Amino acid sequence: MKIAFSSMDGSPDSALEMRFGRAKYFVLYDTESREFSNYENQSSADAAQGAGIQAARNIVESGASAIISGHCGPKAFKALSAAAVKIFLIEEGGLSVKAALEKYLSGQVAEASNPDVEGHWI
Amino acid sequence: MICAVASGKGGTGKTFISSTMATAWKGELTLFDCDVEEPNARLFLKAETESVEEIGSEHPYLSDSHCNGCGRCASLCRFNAIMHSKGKKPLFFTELCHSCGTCMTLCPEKAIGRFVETSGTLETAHRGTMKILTGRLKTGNPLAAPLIKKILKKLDRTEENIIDCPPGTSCPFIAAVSPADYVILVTEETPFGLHDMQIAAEVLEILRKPFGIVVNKTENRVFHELNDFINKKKIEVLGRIPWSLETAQCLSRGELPEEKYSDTFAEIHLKAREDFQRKRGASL
Repeated sequence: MKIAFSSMDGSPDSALEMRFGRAKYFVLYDTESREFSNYENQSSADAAQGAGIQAARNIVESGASAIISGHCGPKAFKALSAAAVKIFLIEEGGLSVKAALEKYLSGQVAEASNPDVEGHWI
Repeated sequence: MICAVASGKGGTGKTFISSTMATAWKGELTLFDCDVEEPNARLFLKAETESVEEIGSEHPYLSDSHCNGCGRCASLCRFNAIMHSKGKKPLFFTELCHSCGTCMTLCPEKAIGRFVETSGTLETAHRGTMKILTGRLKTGNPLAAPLIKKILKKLDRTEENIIDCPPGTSCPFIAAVSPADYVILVTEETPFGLHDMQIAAEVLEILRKPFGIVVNKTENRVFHELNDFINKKKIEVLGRIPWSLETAQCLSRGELPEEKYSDTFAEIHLKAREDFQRKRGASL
């Protein structure tokens, strides 16, 4: 399975981007091959509106079945849920994507059952 | 003629200029208040609302049995209002829908129907020979453009019309200036006023709308950047209105200093008409 991380610059060492819809990149991690790749989320980062929904569509296109981000608004949550993508949120700032992955793999991140912020929260 | 008064930056004096210009017009005229998030021209003009009409916007809904989950609607939507994932049926986010109708028209299975939802109201008032049509966005509805487009369907091209536009340079601005023959851009001698006016001018160039400028609240300061822009772009300056504390106080009481500006605005209106005729002649 592939997991997507919202990221500042697309590398596994970059910081986990706290915003989902406006993240410039997603870092993808394949749990079987244990390899990283990335997916450019520019179309959503630059969207005039509906960034969360566009990002959810990009996630689906990237083949990821779970996302790890800082926060998730109501429309992105609804769109990801409709596509059966699991959502994990790490509120703690300053973590790298790799550190977030370790946290997730060690079972310290619970799946989100609700959006945790309003749209346009930042 | 249909003359739109716009600015880019808010607070430059669009309502002041459009309303006063409307009072200075001798004869029948319709003033459209398209600043639908906070319409206030009617308040300045002290006209009572006579009738209120509900305005609806069309949004898509899915006829499940016809949809084959192809996702064409989601890929066509310019407003990110449709979520689709492979093998599933699309999910519509009505709050993001601009009522453009693309998904409904181009669905290969004709699986998308339309439903009408109230997006705001249109209020009618009169003052002498002036008719005032006020658009008012329903509280909680974030999208002004579909309502503005609906309201401006009431334009009668054979008559004289003034449109008081919303601030900004995005969809609501474009919806309000699109039917206009000519646009009066109101600016002020501040970097913010100039910056937003430049963007508005750029948009109007793309839309191929003739426009001129009114510099409001001028203190005749030497503001090179504004003058350079006007000279470089060869923009018609329709008028310069001096800063006046008295006028500011009058407006903040909710009153229009009509008499004081009657001649000034009649002249600006006339210059706008002449500039429109000249530019139309040049483009024919």
